[in-house]
Amino acid sequence: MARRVFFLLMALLGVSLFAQENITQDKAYVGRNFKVYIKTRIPYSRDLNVELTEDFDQLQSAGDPYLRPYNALTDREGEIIYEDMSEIVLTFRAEGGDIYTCRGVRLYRQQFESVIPDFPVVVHNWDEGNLDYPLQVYWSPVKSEAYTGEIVSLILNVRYMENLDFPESIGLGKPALGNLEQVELPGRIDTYDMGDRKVYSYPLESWYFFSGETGELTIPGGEARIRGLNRKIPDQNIRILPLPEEVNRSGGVGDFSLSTRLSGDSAAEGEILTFTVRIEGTGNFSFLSFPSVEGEGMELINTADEEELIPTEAGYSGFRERVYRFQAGSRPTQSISCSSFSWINPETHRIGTYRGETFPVQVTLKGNLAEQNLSLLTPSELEWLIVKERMSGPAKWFLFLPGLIYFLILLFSLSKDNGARNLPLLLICLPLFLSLTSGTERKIAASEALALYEKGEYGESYRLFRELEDNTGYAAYLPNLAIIEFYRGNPVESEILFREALGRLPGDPAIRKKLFQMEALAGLKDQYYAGINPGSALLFLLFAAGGNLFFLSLAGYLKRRKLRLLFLMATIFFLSLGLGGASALSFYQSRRPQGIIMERGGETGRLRRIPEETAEEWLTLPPGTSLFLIREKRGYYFIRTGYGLEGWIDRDLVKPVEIGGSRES
Amino acid sequence: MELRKTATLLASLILFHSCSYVNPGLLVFWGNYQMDQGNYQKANVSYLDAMDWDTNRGIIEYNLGNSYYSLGERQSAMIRWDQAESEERDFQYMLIFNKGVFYYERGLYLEAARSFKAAVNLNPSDRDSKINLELALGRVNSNAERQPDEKKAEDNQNLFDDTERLLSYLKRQEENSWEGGEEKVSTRENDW
Repeated sequence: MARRVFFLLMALLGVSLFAQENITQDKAYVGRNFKVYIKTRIPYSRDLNVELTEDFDQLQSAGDPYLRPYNALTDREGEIIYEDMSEIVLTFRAEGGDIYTCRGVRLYRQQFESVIPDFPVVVHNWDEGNLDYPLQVYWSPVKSEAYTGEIVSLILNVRYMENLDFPESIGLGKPALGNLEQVELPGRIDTYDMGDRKVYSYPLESWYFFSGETGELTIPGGEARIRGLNRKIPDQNIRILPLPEEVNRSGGVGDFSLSTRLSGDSAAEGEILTFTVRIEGTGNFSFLSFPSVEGEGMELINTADEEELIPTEAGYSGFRERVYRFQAGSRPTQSISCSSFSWINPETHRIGTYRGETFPVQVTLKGNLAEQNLSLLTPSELEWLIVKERMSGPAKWFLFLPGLIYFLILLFSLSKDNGARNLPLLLICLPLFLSLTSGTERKIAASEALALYEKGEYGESYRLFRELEDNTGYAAYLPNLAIIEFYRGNPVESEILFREALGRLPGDPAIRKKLFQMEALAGLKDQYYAGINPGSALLFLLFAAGGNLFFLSLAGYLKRRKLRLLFLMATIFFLSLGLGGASALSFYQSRRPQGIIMERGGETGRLRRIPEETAEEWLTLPPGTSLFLIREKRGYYFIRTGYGLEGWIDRDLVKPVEIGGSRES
Repeated sequence: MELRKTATLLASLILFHSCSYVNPGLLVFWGNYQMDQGNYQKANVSYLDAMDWDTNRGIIEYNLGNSYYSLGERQSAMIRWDQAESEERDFQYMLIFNKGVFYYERGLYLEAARSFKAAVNLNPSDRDSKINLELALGRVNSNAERQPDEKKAEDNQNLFDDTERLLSYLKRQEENSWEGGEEKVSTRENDW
């Protein structure tokens, strides 16, 4: 009666009765029968039956399952509750070492039926006597078809390891067609619970495979040695499909996007423009080709590549970028064009296309300088340059005199209340300042030199201008010396003199115009651009105006003692202080060390990447090329060209440009 | 194969130990930062500035060699590395590793294998040295098969035997350290 009640109860509870079953097995090896024992909590009776309801592929039943009684079921206090419990005995055989899952063991008796929960069965290979679990080396799923050039990830894993041990060796065959590249793919570590223990499955090594050939290919397997045991690595067969015709040119297989960027749609002649092509996404970055980029009317200076890629199972992920640097030529309308680029997504088999673009660039020409006659600066132009130069020298501080004098006069005449009437005294300062700029003798000398030049007596004209420059110290004469040097066949000397002039009168439009003319006539390319520098002179004028206003407002305040004048004075003070600072900064920036490439003993500007005798020559800069001199080390200058190229050049082959402040006579 | 660039940071920190060397130390530190940023020329200038102090030349020469190498001036880099000397074990390891990379890229596989072997000796836990050593040995082996030469073959064989011993020892060490956990203490110096 008790057993009937028990079975009725079991019928109600079903599987839960097996929750605490005790399953053991013989040490199992491939090709040999072994037994699995399941001790249940079901009382044994003759009409209780067991059967296997499922067939297995590799784990085969090698005998009918049967039941036998055992006496072991106890309660929490250790007392036997039921005797003659049922033990299921199953006989298996397996042809490969693995951990199999046994399912479908059914126990039944009349109305009662229950199924044993799934449980693992461990089968060892013959050389695994010392191991608790079989050792298996296997590939992660590999795609069976791939496009030409597509990256196929191969991840070799090991299974059922109790520790995360490294392999001792892995020997993989070399495919006859295609390339294997070892990469560090992140892979995946899986954990399996084996009772109270854990075993791991984790990647050992990973590779990228890609092939430029089509057809059925075999990636030969090999052998891995781990924990002293050799395991065969199976071959992989893969079918390589041809790329669609549209993608043939780029070879791109993956999920990509392409973007382009032009640094500006307008430029000055000779200016450097950068055009960037960026491919982003995931795929065969190591195999694909960039679209072609061409500049119409422009000269390609160089290209630079940048990339940030990480290997993933779908291929490299990240971006590759190519920067093209073009120099604007001498046509008013130029353009940069990028050809089309197509790729195929291996998952969706859809073709993505960038259709190609043309970017027009408006170029501001230096004028048809080469066609113009390169003439000397006239005496009046020279005088104006001298005024500007004096303004940039110590004489410029005279500009503060009007306000200062007015202030001083007012200070001494406060009691008489006639400060305002002294305002016309300011006018005294102006002729005083202007008188400093007059120079009749030098005007006559300059006229003589000009006349000699026009007669073709370059040597004599040069000597006179040189004397004037030496005697007065004004840089204003340097452009004329430069022009004469040019006509005497020394464009390099001419370039040096022009740059010196611009160093002392930064951004002067008259000198710049003559320099550009000379460079165009001499065919000097890749010069650094002598920019317009509104800088120091203009800013200093504003500074001086601010200074005068400051003195006026200070005088006004002292006279009238009104608070608003004090505020005005403070505002003007800080404003003029800012202008003074900006003027100083602009002045400093115009004094970047510069140099010109010379020719010495048949040698010219051989640029090197490092300052060493053993260094290879990189490229040659022609004589007359202007440079920024950044540092000097070991007899070499570290230079930067007008288009941003950096390198080292023998210091004997560079003439530094003197760009110090103007020399006052 | 890549140079040991990141390790140069460690090398530069050595210079900070002494207050009197703080200037070259900062310059090398700045140079290493520029190297990491890919500004090899700026790094070059920093190292050359650091040389003006005439202290710790070995480390500076080493770093300068790295920047030369990154700029594609392999031969000049090797000259710099040849001039770099230091008692520091980590430093010697980085130096010999980089030389190994240089030899490998020049196709001098036997020299490369010798360098990587020395690097493994100096830093047995470094996986890259071991991988590079095996790569170099693989190349030596394939070259030897193509060009049988008795003297060279004997040299190669000696190298193989030595290396085999070294690698198997390291493998045992690693196995022990996995299995034995903290109880196993490396005694590699005594075993050689």
